[in-house]
Amino acid sequence: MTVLRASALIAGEGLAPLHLQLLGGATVCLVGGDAQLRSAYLRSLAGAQYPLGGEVELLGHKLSTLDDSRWLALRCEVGLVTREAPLVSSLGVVRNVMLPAMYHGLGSRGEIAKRARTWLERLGFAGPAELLPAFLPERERKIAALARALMLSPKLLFVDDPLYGLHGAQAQRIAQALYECCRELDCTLVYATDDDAFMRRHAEQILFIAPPAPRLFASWQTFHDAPDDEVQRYVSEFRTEARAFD
Amino acid sequence: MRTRIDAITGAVGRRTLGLVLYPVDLAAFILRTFQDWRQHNRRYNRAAASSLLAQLIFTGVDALPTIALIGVAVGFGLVAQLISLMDVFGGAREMVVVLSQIVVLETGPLLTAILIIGRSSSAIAVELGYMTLNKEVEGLWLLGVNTNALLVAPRLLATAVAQLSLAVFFTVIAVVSGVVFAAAFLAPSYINFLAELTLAFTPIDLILFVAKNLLFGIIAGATACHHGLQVERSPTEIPQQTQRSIVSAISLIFVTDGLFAVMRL
Repeated sequence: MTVLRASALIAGEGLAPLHLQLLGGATVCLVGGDAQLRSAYLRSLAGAQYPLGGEVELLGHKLSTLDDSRWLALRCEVGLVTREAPLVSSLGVVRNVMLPAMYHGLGSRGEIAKRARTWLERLGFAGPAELLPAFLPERERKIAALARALMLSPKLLFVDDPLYGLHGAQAQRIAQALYECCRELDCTLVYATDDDAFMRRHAEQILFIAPPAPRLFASWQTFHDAPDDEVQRYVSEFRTEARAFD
Repeated sequence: MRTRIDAITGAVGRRTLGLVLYPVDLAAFILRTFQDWRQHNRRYNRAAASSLLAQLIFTGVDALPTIALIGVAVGFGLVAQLISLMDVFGGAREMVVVLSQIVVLETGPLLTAILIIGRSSSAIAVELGYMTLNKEVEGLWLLGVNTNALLVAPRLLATAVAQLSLAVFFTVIAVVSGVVFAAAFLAPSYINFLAELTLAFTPIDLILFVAKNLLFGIIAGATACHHGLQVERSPTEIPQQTQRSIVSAISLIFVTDGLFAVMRL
């Protein structure tokens, strides 16, 4: 089943239109040297911002035709974790994770709290879950933001590289756990990342965002071996950065 | 020279239009908020109820000691002085009318509203400003949460209920402490005013008292939320919007109070 269809989508100046169709349950990685441009495409695909041109259809709903209340209803099925991954600063971590399910009335308080703790544990949360986000390390805050998105059991989850500031091995462990959670939920994962280990292992498609046009590759290997100067520059630069980071 | 004059007249025009349009803008914001609240709370919403309860505790319960202290101070400073002045210029009947009309129906709601604006509305504006700046509000939208229903409506309702309850609490404390003070230091017979005061209000007075206080509370909450959510990019916008929300709320409350006074004439 097609969960996302983009027709002639333009989200960055000077880039050719993108035509894209994603099937349910797939794992797609969004890569590209310019994080802002990548974010613009991810947000446009997720319906969180108006694109410069083109049309996006999520789970059969054309975004341009949705009113506010139908757009909000769609957000229960389509998650987006932004790069900043902000939590509500006045609520403790568990209450933050519980909040969307509580708001949408998805079970009793006890059930929701149990589910929240399960997702936090699955993603490797290791801090005191009652603390306010400001008192927790960045790693735990990012995990909580991911767990909060999973609470609604989305059919499609867009993740804009919230793990970018974490140590390589830590980020890889969280990304691996996120992938497993998405598989369990049969959720399509669209993940903006530079984590090549993740891409090698799990990416079923790679969307490379760079001038002159966004390109789609069937796997990490085809992406890696592509006779494309931009791709090769990205691969070599990113590998140097990744080594320096580790 | 002409360009400079155009700029000045343009600025004056924009500010005047802004002043006229501001209440319209705020009214639309309030209506939209309650519309969203009704739409998203058809069944009991625990997250919104919890937000409402937290705001009620902060705006209402936590403010009780301060309100009590100011109530006693107003009782000693204003009510007792009014009683001693009226003793010279008027009779007992006029004294009851002055106390009921000036202290209970005018000063109590106004002073309570000013306290709520200074204490709670400023806190709401700062809190929502930081939430908007840190993209917490956007994060909630992306989870399908209507932030008007979850963040704004509970704050509006809480400030309205808190304003009404605190105004009652404030006027009772101010009148009782003032009368007791006057009875203790001027003439013990003044204590009888307390019984007479309870019979001094007509049903219209009571309806206007409730309506005025609820409206004051909604104005205090709405201006705070409206300005808090207008913060966009910079932390420097937060104090600017907070200050605007305080000034706007106080101005609107005095204008509303004037309109209520005209209605009662």
